[in-house]
Amino acid sequence: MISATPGKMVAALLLALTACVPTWASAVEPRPFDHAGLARQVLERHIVPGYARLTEAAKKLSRTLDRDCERPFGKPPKPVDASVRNLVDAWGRIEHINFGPVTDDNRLERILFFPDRRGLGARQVARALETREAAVTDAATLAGRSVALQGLGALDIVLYGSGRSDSETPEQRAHRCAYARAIAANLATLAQAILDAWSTPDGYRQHWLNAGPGDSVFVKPSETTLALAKALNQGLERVRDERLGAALGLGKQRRKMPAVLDKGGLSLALIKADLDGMLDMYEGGGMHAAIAPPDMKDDSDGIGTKAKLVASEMKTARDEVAGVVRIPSPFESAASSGRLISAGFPLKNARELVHGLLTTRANLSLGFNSSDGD
Amino acid sequence: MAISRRQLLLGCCGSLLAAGVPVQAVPLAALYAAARRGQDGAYSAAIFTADGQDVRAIALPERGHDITVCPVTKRCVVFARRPGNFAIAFSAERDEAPQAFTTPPDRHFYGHGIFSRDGRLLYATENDFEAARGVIGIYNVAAKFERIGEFASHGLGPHDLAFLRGEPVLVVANGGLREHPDFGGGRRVLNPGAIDTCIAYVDVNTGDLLERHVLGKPGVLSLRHLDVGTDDTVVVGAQIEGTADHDAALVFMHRRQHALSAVMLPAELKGRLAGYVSSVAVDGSGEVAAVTSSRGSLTAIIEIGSGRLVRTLSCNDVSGVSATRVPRTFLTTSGEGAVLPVCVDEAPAQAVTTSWLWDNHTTIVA
Repeated sequence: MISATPGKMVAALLLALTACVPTWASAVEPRPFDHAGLARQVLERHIVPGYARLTEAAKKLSRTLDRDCERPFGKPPKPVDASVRNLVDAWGRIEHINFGPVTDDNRLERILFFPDRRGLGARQVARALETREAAVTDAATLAGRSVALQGLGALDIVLYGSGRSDSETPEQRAHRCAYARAIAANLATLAQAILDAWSTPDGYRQHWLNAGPGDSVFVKPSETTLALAKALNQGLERVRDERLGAALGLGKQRRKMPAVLDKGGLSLALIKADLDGMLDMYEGGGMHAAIAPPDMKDDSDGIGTKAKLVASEMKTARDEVAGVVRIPSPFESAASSGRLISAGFPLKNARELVHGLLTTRANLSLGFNSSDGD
Repeated sequence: MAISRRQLLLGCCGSLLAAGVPVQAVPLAALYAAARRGQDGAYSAAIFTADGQDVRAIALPERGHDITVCPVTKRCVVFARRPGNFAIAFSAERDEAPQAFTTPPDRHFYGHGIFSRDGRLLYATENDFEAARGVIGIYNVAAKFERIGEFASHGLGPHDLAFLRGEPVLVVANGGLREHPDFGGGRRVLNPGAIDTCIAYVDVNTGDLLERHVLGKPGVLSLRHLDVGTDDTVVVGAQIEGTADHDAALVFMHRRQHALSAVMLPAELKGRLAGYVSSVAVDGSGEVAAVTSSRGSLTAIIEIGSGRLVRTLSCNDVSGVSATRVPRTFLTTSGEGAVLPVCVDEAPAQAVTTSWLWDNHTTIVA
């Protein structure tokens, strides 16, 4: 048996004390966490507006493509470019909502298939363009094809990559534009379906707003908060590890992986929108206020300070990304990649802080196994 | 105030401590193994003593799941959790280098495996995700764990598996989940509400299906973890996927040639299991089984012969549970660092709190 050294004893003491002290130590009895209130506020101020914005952005891109796509261009005309950026921004701002109707019918992957481990998107889209495949030019038939042929990843390749050039024949250009229009229309259909489920009284909305023993999806009021907590936790992890870390070569692969939407230089636009969206859910959606009500006078337990720090850390990361969002090849340049690396630290802090706050304040079971077991 | 080492080591299991129940020292002179995460977020697997001291630890590239132990050499193999595709063999001998191996690109592990009785082969539950079928991969231990073949698990989403005690027959818990690495990181259930779970008995010499038992129509229940008791009684733990139905039975017993039978637990206990059994272990005598629920922070001990609930213990995020050398005694581990012996017949034992977030399963090595 290994004997305990003084150092180990001290460490054990700290751990034991940490484990045994009640997690809520305030002298003032905290008010109950308002799970139902948070669910309603997030729904009305964040989720529904987010999907409405996504739906409108996809429809706007469809209109822009109808008008401008087939004009001769070496790269997409500015109106198309602006509409694509608007759509990417709208998706990023709601992408972290990884539960509910967006998980039906593989909608998440049909909107953005990433990471694409086997490079399916590049291969399949290139083949569809080369062969001028008719099925991808109709939104209804496209919806039944491979997820790699649909969504923002395919749109990135169609508009900004894979053989596009000034020397394309009119037929090639017409096919490419028809494919882009079908992608936009399909995205609009997907976004509208998700929006409808969150908006109509008998849709997913009714489960979300009636969490409790009588509901079949959320059997406890706290389960809606748990869904939000997981969405924020996984969203922050995705931005840091998958979107930034992997593209910087700091991920588990230890080599640079393709960045998301890199053909059109939209990687950081999406990442910035991801952070804007999570910040909006936390602040505008009411998570911050639910954790630390604005009229809470006593902050002896530090809950209020930590809750502010979560927002501050997310803003810091967002500002780092925003500072280099227009730089070409941002993961290659030393200056911009340094800023992107530095964005990872506040993201890690924010994630750990909000995890602790929600565990304590909302009494959520966010344990290592209980929140993500197998 | 002076604090003794014994006091220091009283861990996270607040319900035991708060009740003022005197703790019982349990001599568990054995080695255990489990995957885990450190405070720095790094994943590792370790062989450790019952008081939480590492004997050997190896780094893992990603999160691990279960560890299986060779009955001959006591060498361990830790598996990636789904949809990971790595496994690493290691032992308590520090001078023996770990040996990593992987599934083929079109397969991934489900986190569980088991050695043949002679230690020559390793069987692992795997996903043939393009064909949406479960398989049991066969690895040749002597050839650096070269994959030499596979046979059907006779179900979808095979998870835990075990040998019957006296026959070359594997019993496999086919969880019934359809998953694909391209969707939801490989962890999204693609057939919600239509989970076709079963337990299958498979002849390892031929791959033939000997028996297959289902729970009625496909639904929300997934049979995931199991262990084998005396007379080859199989104890199975289930999880509810998606729509919660906390009244559903979650623990089942099975003997060949019979139907699956639900263990009738008190109504309040069903709720405390929170729709989720994390792990199942049968004790050294083969008479009692322990099931844990990380979501319910609960360990429940059940007498296999009668299906009677013997006792329950609370511990935050408890999940790993293993038989020990002592009959009617288990070692449990938690995601909050606790290493806690659980005796069926004695007062609650003392918990050790470590700095590790112990993962889903714990197993006895020697």
